[in-house]
Amino acid sequence: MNRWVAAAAGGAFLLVTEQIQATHLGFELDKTQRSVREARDHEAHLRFQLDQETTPGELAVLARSRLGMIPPNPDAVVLLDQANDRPVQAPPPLFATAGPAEELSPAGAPRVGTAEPHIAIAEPRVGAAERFDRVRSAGASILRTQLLSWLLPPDSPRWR
Amino acid sequence: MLSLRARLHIAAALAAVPLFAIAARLVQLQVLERKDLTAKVLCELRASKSERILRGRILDRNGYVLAESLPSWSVSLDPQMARGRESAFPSLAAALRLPPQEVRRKARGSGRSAMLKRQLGPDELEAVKALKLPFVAFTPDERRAYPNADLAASLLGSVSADGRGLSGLELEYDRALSGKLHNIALLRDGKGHTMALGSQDAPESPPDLTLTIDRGLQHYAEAALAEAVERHQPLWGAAVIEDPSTGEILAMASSPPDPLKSRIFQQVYEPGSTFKTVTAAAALEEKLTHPGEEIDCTGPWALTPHVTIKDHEPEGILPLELVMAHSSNIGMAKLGLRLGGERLYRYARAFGFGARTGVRFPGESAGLLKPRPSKDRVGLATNAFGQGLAVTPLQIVNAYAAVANGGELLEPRVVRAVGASPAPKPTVVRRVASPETIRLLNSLLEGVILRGTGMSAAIPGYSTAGKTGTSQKLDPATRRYSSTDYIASFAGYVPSRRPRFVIAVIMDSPRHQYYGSEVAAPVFAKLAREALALYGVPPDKPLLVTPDRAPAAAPRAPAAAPKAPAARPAAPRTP
Repeated sequence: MNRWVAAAAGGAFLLVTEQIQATHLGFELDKTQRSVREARDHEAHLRFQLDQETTPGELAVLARSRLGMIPPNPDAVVLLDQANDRPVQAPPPLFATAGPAEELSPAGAPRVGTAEPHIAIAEPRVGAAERFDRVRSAGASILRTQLLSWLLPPDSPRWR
Repeated sequence: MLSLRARLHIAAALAAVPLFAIAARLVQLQVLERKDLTAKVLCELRASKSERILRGRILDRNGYVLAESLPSWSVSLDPQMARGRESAFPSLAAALRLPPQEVRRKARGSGRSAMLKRQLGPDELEAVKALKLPFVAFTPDERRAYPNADLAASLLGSVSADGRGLSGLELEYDRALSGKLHNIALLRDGKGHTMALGSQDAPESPPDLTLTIDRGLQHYAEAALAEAVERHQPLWGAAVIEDPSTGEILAMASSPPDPLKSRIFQQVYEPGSTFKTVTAAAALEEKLTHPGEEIDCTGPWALTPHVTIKDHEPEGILPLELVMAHSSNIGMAKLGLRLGGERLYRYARAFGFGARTGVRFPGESAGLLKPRPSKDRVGLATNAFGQGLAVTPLQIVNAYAAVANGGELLEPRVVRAVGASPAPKPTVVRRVASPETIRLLNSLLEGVILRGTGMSAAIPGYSTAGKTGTSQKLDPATRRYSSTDYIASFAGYVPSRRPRFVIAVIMDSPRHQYYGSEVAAPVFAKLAREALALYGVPPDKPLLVTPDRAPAAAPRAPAAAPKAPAARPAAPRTP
């Protein structure tokens, strides 16, 4: 019987200790959560400061004042076609140049307010396909040259 | 005599009596009176606090933050607890950057709480906490912050001190952006330590508002406009950039910046010659004219016995393309009279004038457009060249977007998405004219740049189309059109063969120069170049590059695009 009493007393002691520990840990957890919130708040402020420093206006000021940069002359900037190293050929126009009066559409052209089929502005395929063909043919040409250089001696008539 | 064993048992029993008493008491407290005692304890220890979920962010189309709420704190003091601690007031005032007398005044209050300062920054908060004053309390707060300063201020709007939208998109989307209150149950011990018991409401973060605005393009628009405003010193200026294929507004700048008002949506003005595009479209669509037709623009032209119309430069007989290129008021007035009041009004409404565009923005103006009876020749003629009606900058840019995209008027948008919802598809309002008419109109507008008043809007290497505008302002004192105050404008799109950007620039009452070709067209060209470079749009016209020199314009382009706005084109025409 003494053993049972001792066991019960030990169990009760353990229970009480666990309860106290759990409460203590609860307070610690809350304290840690507050610290996490404060750290997140601090991070939010730092991120805001970073956003302020990297706005286009700020970067322009930095570029001018610290790096001595100036905006380029607009005429000095020429955009090139990405696939080829030269200005693009003009793509087929969406709107053809107006011709003489006879080329106007006949009477009965649709008027405002009537139902019209939706007209989609489609991206031209011709330019992209042409570029792909050029790249592919250029690549094939390079590959052919490399193979020939491995297989044939430099003074072979094939090179002429 | 009791045996030893018996004496031990008796001693044990006696020793156990207090234990039984304690055990009985424990049973009474822990089992029998458990509910009452638990309720009393929780009443003492339980507390709750409310936290506000921060207001939603506003982002540009690429995810850059334009507006966000930062966690902040408000500080208050307890006047009763502060009594006798006046020596701490100067240091508290210094930490809060307040005058000391302000702190003393608040401490003289009668209540238990007096607000000292709201929306403290992190430095101020740390400084006040370091003082460890027992009569000071902190309350969570939020502060609306705009990392790009005044960028797009009139579009974003402003919020009150309580974080509610007051104007602009902050007002229009206030409900979606507003954070909700979030209640948290707490347990508190005698020393004031707290432990959260879990939130009673599930916190919902407000969604982010993603705009159609491009931050980089917006910066360019504001910089270009600011430069032009500094040079020409107008009363106000505005510039809008729209994507004609989707109706998305990519940039909108107004000067001076005002978070309480947006000139793009709310300012009305007489469009002048930029409206001639509508008249020409109507006349072409109704087959009342054709590009080769020659119109007698000899002036002054007696519209009525008492009213004459004249052009800025004397003209003779012009083909339609030169009527447009030279911006002849007489030519357009004649077309307007052919159309009649009802048809001109119908086409103007078709292009979106006289009605709100449907963009979600508070206080958008519908402009002013009245149907003119055909017998009102003066009203009809003046409407035909863009006077006697009022439009907003958004309506003008949206109308030109309809021309640029092949003839469909789209609903303009400034908000791309709310939260994670996908961007909606463009909304087509109506078709304004047939594709054939649009094609002809496009060539007329290209002619304005190549041969007419819009030469200063030309961009080497890019096909460009557009129209200048110089409208007289109404003098409210005399109720007549002023001869000194004008509104200079330009609306156009680039590249005209496959338009990517529609740009409108408006300046009210510029000084020294007032023609649209001199004031607004160069701003269009500058903005267009920057937009084309930013988006990597390659040239669509042959570019003649001369070594060691800036590229010369193509043969059909103007021989010398003016570098200074004061320089007039080679053949100045009526804007």
